[in-house]
Amino acid sequence: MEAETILAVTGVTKRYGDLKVLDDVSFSLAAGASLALVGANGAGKSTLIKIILGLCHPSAGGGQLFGHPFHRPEGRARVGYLPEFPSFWPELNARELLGFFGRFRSIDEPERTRRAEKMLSVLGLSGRAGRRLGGYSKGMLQRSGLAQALLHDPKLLILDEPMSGLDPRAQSKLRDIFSALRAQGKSFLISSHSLEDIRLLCDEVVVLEKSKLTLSGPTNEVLGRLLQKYQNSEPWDDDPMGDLSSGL
Amino acid sequence: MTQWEIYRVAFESLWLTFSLRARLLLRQRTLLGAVVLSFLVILLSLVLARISWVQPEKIFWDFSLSVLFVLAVFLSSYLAANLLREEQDRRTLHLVLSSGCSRGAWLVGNFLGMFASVAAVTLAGFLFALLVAKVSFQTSVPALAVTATLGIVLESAVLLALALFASFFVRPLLALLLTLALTVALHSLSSLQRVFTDPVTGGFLDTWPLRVLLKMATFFPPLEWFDLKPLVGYESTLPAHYLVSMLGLCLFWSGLYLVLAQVRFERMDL
Repeated sequence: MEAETILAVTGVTKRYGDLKVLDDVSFSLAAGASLALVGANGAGKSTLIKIILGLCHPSAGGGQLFGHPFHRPEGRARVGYLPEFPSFWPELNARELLGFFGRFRSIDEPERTRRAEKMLSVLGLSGRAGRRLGGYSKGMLQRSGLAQALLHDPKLLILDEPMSGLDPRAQSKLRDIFSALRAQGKSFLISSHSLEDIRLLCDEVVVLEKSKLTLSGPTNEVLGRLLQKYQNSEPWDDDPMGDLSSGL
Repeated sequence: MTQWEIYRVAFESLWLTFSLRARLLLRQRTLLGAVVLSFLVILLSLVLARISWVQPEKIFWDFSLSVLFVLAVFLSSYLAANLLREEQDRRTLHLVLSSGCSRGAWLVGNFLGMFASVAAVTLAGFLFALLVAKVSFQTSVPALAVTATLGIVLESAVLLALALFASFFVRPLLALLLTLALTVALHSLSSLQRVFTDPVTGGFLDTWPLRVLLKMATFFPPLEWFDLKPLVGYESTLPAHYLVSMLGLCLFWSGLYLVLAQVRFERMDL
């Protein structure tokens, strides 16, 4: 039996004035599978994630999330989202934050408290759950963000550069958590620069270059071709920084 | 999902956003500071009333209600003008919307949360003024003081919606300044119209820019309707239909600005 398609992106194009950020991008993700979005900075990965989550409107094309169009909230309710550099209301503590998102996700009491406490414990935040989020470190905020994303046990996790800005120890811990979730059969849509994370977590890779989807397929195959391509090209090809560095 | 369930989820999102906003604001020092400031200036009003020769009670209420009015205007404009930018910069807007909350529920919930907070500050100040008046003057509370406070609260709802609407088009500081400027202008309309229609000054001022300005005012809420402060202290009463009109104006104008803000918000890329 073919697995249900939980995410379908169909011909998505996004323009900001004359600038084309995404050009006719299409791909899909089946339940239980994981996909990585790879590309240089400014390739359109974050914009694509925003379009999927209904935060940006595509100029053309569209798609469905759990069978609902991107702009409808019903599909988004079944997704766990961790933005790059998450930050929260500094007046709340982690327990209150999870309580709020738990209510948003329609998790009733006492299940809400049980899940929140479990998340806090698994992510090592129990001891500081009563402290205001305004005093949290970057790593703790990242873990709080992950806790809110996982609270309602979503089928699909959308992670935008989940490791950026974290120290190696925190990255390793987060990687272990993601691997465990992957083993539980959760689907991931990850935007990342880390090939190690992509190899560990994703079955498929979609490469975005200059706003276009240039490569897609199984992880090892795509990463192999990508590395080969990079080896045969000059660093920072077509990058204005390249000219700048040669002049130094 | 049935249509009924969709409405239920939308209402729950609205309620949650409202309660979160109210909770966040009540924990912020801005509101606490506003309450303390209003108490201090109300006490100062008492001193001014005591050293005056005539109508000390009227002077007290004039000053106290003016303080509450200024605070409500500033708080409403400041909170609403900053909301969108703050939530966007912090990415909490992205998180809430990606949790299944609709943009409409987010907007209305936050508006109601801010309104509840501003109303709470105004009410706290009014109750303090009431206490001070009761102890100092030992007379019954003028009914119009209650009505004037209601006017301040209703006007703050209109200003919140106006500043919120403006913040969807311009930067927070500009939205704040625009709202404050409009508040001052719309509170001076009748004086301007009086000068304009005066047989002596009217002819002199009857120029097209002023005529355009007065015409333009019809596109904005008639804020003077909410201003009942000058009446407090006189033995006048207000007919019930005035209160109904005031409530109707508040609902119409804040509703209109919220709908316009929502139209813009739905089209925005976050």
